[in-house]
Amino acid sequence: MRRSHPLVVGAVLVGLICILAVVSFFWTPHDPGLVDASIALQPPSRTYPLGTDGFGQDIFSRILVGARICMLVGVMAVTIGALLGVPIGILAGMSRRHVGRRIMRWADIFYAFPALLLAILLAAANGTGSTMTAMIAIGISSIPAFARVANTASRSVMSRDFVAAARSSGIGWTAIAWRHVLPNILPVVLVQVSSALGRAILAEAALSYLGVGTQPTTPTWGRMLYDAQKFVYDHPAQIAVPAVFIAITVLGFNLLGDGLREALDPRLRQEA
Amino acid sequence: MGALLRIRDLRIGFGRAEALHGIDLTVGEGARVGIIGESGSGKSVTALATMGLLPDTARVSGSIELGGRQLVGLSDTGFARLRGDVVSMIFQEPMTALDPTMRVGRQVAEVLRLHQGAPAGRARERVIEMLSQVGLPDPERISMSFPHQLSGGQRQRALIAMALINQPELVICDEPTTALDVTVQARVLRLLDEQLDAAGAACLFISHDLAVVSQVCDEVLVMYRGTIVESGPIAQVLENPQHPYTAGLIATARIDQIEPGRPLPVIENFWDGKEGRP
Repeated sequence: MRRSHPLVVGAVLVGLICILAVVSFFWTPHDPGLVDASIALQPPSRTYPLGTDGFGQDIFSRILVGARICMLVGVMAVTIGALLGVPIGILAGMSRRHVGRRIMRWADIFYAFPALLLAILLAAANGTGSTMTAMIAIGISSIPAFARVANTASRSVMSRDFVAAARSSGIGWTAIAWRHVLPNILPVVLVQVSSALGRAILAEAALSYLGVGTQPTTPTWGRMLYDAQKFVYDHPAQIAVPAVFIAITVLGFNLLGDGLREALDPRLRQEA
Repeated sequence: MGALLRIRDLRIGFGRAEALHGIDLTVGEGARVGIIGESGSGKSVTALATMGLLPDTARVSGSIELGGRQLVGLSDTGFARLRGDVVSMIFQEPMTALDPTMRVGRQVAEVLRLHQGAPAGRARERVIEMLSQVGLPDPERISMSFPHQLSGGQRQRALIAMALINQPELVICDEPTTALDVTVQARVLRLLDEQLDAAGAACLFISHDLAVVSQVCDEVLVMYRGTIVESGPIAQVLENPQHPYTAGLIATARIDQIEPGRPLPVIENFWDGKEGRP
């Protein structure tokens, strides 16, 4: 931990984005939805800290409000993925070897199915994309990754003596899953949660960019990217702002995940 | 004294290989039987079969009777009811046999509440009582500690408390002191001895260490490659081994009698692996 502080840097970046999202509920410099063509494409100034976009909307206000969707979709998607994926992984890890393998092969097949494709399918089935379809699609497609991580970890927990000791005391399978397997795989799951948040946020941005996620008028970073790309030659700063915020968020969660892995893995800790 | 555990012609196979070639053994109520043998001799497999903890891939035939109940072919749920209540087990590695994420007291209480349905308050009292009975200082503090905060000897004592708290009829000890250093080993063995007496429990004691077995057990079985090559009262086997393998085991354990500079004895000096092979 002396060499670098991925945990600290990650936590600071993620904390920053969370603060933006929270602040947006109480205060934004301007109405993020107010369209005023007379002030379109202004450079950063004292009134408009990050300038205005092609509709004359304040970019900074939209970034603040956009942080909400970004966090909402990320957290909900990862919750769906973890709540469904972890039990599947534990179940597969605790069941007979060939049954567990069969479950995991199915998980692997779904792993190959891209989140974007699923989101587009859901959006098509629903008539139009929405924040909800984006959350569900990203959530479902993060299930296999959680199942895999939970499966490997619970398999190794199951082979440890204390599980045999618990079984030799007559403790049933459900109790072993709850009280012995889950607490022991929690650190690994936590690391997965953090990196899955990064991926979910990236996927959310991609979906809004493609127009199959959250619909316009609600500011999202992905949509801002799409709106700004028309001006990429004349006003490159327009595209840089949402891009930088997306990058910061994803980087923050990935660093947080790496830092957690380092902090929670006793073998890595000894080396540090 | 009636027979508590009666194993007849027990055969256990994994895949094409057979690990246990039909063994017979009897443990009387309150008796102490040691099983001794090198790794791979089948002693742990015998213990696991009695606990119903063999992997699904194992093929088991023959008969294991515990207090009149047939255990071969018993379902996992059936086994779960017996485990921890009628039969319990003490494991080799105290470092890994306790869940690192759970406080010691809760781990011991879990077994008690499972089988006796004691309410939380009463269970706690009984756990503290049991922890102090196994000679743990400041049992209140120990019950609130996590396993990594205890020493190896303390953990093994906690495991003994866990195994004996429901006063089982049979305790299987799988090399319970191998992972401890010798001074702690002697104390834990003495404690085990006392606790088994106090609970009136029989004991199947598995070890590769003759000295340890002779300290705890009355009877001993010598296993080699999935068969029992010799059995009898411990004193008789030690003084007058009938099988050359046993003679070899005893000689290799007495390194204090070797003159300096002379090669250490090995089993092959006593047994060519053929004579007296059952």
